[in-house]
Amino acid sequence: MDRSAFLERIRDRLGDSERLEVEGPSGWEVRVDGPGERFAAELEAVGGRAHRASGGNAAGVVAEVVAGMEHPKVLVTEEPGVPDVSAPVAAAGGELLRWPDAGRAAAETAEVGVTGALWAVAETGTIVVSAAPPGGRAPSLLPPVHVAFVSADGLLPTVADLFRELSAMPAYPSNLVLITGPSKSSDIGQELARGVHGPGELHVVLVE
Amino acid sequence: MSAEYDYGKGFSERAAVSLADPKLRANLAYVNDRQISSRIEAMSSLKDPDALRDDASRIRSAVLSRLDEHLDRLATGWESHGGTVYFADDATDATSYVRNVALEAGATLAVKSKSMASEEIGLNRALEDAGVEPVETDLGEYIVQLAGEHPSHIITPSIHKSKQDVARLFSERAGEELPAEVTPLAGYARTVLREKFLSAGLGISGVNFGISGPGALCLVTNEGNGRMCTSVPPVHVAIMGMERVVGTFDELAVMLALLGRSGTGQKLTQYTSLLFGPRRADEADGPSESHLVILDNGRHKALGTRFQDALKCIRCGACLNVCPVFRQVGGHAYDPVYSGPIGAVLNPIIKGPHAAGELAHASTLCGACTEACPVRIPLHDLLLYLRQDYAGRAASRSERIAYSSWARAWATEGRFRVFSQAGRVLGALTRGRPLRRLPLPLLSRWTRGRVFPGFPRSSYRKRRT
Repeated sequence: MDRSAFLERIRDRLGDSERLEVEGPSGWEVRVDGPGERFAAELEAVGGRAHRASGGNAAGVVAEVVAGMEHPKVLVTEEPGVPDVSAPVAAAGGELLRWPDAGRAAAETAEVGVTGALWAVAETGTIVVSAAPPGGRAPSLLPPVHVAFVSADGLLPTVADLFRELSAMPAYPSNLVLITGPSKSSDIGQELARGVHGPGELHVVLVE
Repeated sequence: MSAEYDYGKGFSERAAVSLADPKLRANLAYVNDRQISSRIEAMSSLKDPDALRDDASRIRSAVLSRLDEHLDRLATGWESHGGTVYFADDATDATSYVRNVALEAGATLAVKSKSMASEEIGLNRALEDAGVEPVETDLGEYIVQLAGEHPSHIITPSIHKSKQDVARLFSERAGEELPAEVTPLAGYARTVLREKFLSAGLGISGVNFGISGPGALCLVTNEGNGRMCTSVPPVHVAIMGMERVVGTFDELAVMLALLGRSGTGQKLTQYTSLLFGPRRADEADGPSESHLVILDNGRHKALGTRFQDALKCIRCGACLNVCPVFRQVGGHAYDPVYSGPIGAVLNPIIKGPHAAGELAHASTLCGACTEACPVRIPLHDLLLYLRQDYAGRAASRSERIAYSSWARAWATEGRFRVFSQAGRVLGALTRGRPLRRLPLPLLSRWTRGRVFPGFPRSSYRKRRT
């Protein structure tokens, strides 16, 4: 149907009824004390694992994750904050795949995806992953395990704070995703299943 | 195992099917109770949930009052990101557009993330007719699709299926016996559907909210199938009911806080995808085409009427869980798409007034739905208006005569006394017992699904004086 006819029909129906203004949200206040602890607690509550590291030992978390895996394929982006994980991957006898050069095929077979994240939100244990280069969509989506590194500077107290940041972005990538814990479903007999389509295991490293 | 619901017949016939299914009723009671208690608990994590509901209600009302402006801005914004917008008048218009997109993309397989709008327009059938296989990827929807059924709940479409039912369905498809345990069953679905995601030529999703300011779409899922459908196939089509818009990210934040809490008791759903058109030239992955279909399908007729508030709905399903009628009969007794109190109100908007009469009466008007609604839709008022419209339009002659005589009989104190006397006589004749069956065709229809309370032997006034 023609766009203007579609919109005109709506205008006709609304007639001269008052066009309302939204007054800013008033009931929107969440208290967050100690955002670092709150973030960790919220993330663990939704089934994720929270880690803290300083720049020097950040790669240690990846060593922990791949320990016990046999020849793990690890897909890594070059986003800010993502440490060099070649040593722990080699130590586990694994294979390091670099995004985006390795392509989506690599994401389809990798056991672990390692990415950055723009922000973390203490109130809900959420991280925000961008599709903009040097990141992408597949590394945080296709592998069964996702490890995300986020700078402690990017830790925001509340979801409302996050959306204020998003409003202020000068331009957008094609996709921003708010990730709050690993993939889950209760559709089979109302019992919890993890890793249904997205990663079943999520590690977030807050880097000081 | 799965009951047969005939949509050529009436609500009471379908309700009878549900009522005769003890397993369904046990599932419903269990799930509805859990959904209610997790909603209440999640709401209590907000400092002032009622104030936030007021905000949400105001935001939705304001958006509807300027819907033309918001849709215009959303469409322009989506196009500026490189996306395509199609305004669809009705189901046929929308399905033929999606079918053309699929055919032009050369797709023979389409993966779908849960979308009530696509159910509403019968998209799966239209795609099948065009030689495109649609595969539902939300686990609940996948189960329902394998069973050849319709979703029975907005949020939890397979609420009527037990673990054993799912094991039977999956085993049949797999050609081997799968255990009735969640982990292997979910693992099986993951493997089958992963293959579909990677080979599909088209990804189809619904839209939880369009955000007109930034020209973005928001889609929430817990499983990640929303991300899959909008990221992996080369072409993405999003279908949005035209009322599903907010203006800004600040407004979206309020809606998401309530949607997660009301729907599933979550502060935020696991994956909240914000989409801004197709993949950019410098991005490594994502669809190269992103189509947005904005669907009217009768909705404009509710604008400017007392049913406009129904369009505030954010599809959380809270009104279903608390409804004493839904809790007994489940979604299938209502309508193949939208069920529960909100379904009774939406169906006449979408399908026309003929869909109004019966479902509006499938309610006790207790107001639990209104109480639960996060955006404060006065659902039980709307149900009452529907009954009014129905009475003015479609009530039978005998029903009209009966009610107008009733009104006349009770209009003065003298006549009221006479009728009270008649009640006393009836009370004596029936010994004050409740009546399971009333005489005369009109009255006996009333008692088909109800018990008429007994006539007391003395009147209330007499007992009080």
